[in-house]
Amino acid sequence: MTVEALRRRRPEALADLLAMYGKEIHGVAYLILRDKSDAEDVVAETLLTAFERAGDLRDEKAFRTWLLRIATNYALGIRRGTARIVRLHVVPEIGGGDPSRASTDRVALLDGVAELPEQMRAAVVLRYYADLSVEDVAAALGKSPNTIKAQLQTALDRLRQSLADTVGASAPEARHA
Amino acid sequence: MHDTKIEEQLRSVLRAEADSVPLSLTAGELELRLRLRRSQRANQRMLLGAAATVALAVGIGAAVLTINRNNNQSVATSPSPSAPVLAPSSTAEPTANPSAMVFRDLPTEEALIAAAQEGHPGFVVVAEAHEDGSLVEGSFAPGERSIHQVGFAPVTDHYVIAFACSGLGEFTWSIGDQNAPTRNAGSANGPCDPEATVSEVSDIHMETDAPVEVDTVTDPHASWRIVVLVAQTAVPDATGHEPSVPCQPSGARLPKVSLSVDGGNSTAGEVGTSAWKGTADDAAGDVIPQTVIHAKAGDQLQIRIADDVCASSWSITYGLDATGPGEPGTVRPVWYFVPQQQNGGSDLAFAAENRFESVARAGDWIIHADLGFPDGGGQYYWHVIVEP
Repeated sequence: MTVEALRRRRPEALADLLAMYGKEIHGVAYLILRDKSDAEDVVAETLLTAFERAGDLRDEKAFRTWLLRIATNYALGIRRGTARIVRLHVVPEIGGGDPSRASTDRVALLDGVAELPEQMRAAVVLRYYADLSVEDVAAALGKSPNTIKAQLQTALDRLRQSLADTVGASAPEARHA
Repeated sequence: MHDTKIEEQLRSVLRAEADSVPLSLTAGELELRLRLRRSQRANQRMLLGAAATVALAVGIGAAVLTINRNNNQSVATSPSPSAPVLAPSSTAEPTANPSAMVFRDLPTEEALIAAAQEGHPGFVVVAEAHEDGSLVEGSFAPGERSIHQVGFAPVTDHYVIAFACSGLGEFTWSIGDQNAPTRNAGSANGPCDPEATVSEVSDIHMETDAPVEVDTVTDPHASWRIVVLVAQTAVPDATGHEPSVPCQPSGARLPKVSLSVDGGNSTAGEVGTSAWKGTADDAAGDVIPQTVIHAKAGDQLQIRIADDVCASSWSITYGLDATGPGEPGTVRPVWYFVPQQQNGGSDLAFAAENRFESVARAGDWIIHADLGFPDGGGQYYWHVIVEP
């Protein structure tokens, strides 16, 4: 699907958008919001906004980044609108017995991400889930690249600490930086 | 201190977590939402009152008159536009048979842009849309309204719009949110005219991302084309920048930044989200300062970084307090205080500045400075009321 098809508002463009970008937008929104229903709302609003505002886009190469910026703004807007503070503590998905080391790390990291301030969490999700460059993350969040770099560094420090707190002395590699 | 291991671990965990939650939204649901959106928007517009009703009546009347009208008829606009400047590529005379008028050629996009750029060098296209009569969605009875949102106009004080319409009926284009007077930049209306009509609006106060809408009351097969251009006042400066005063080294803490009016007392900016040398503070939203600074239009406002430390990138805007009840602060940018400066490498040799000056414009502003430094960055805010 091309941006031109979107600008022409061809009927199939919405379905194509959903197929190509729905899953990734959903992932970004879910990791920021930790709510499946809200994340689906973000996907719908993002794609409809893109459908109606494709004419805004000056650089077609930046289409994906533009979509993720819209999605992030919607997701952060939902959080602001509902003034919720939800901190989910993820339960390991294993049945009985001791959790494996990998699972423990996963829980620690997800807990750590959930406890980051929302803008910092959004930066982490865009950088490490969506693989946006620091400059694109900065553009998406309306911050300078230096602010984002520092936020990401702080986030990694905190996550490293979360891992260390969880696994204690068994995670020396998590402290080396 | 680049820790690749935890970054890779984080990528893996985030992807697994996102993949564990399936997306159940379907294309059908999406299309339903789109129809609902459009229906709500159309209803909202229809409820705006007598103006719409009058426009409808005028449109139908104009449609009848159009059958025998002279091709040189000009379009009534507000704010006042220039006269039509461009002939359509087809000059066939309209007839009383609507279907014979449907496919009169409109000016090409390039021709409309050229017409709009005449006398406005450097203006850039921000919205372009057209509707071919054969592509009109849904089924409209003759004389029925059809509202199309064709894009969003960014913050600027100067727009040039070129519009052409072929078929029976009336068109209106508008920029801005009709429900928010401060966001209504301008509009024009008149009978469908296949000759390009160029309109110009300037000195407007509008928030960012105002919709551009085309509202037609036409034969269902009418075709139209619009281009919207704006001045390039907000384009980032990619050419580097020399500081006003030689840069001094930064300290252990985020630099203080202050604002003064005509060289008088300075007021320190309130700091929102910031990061400095490995530490970060994350504000819930924008900061709306309680302290109000008063100025008069035309006063010189200066933002100065303490100790002559230099920022390597900056985006400083006059904005409006758009905070909703019970919500974290939200500032909507309206004007740039100084041209924005990007600097991907945070290289002070490429761009550096420690003083920023702007002539005050009347309004109740939240001035927001997003400053980047090699060691971090910060968001600074001032509340300034500028009397006319």
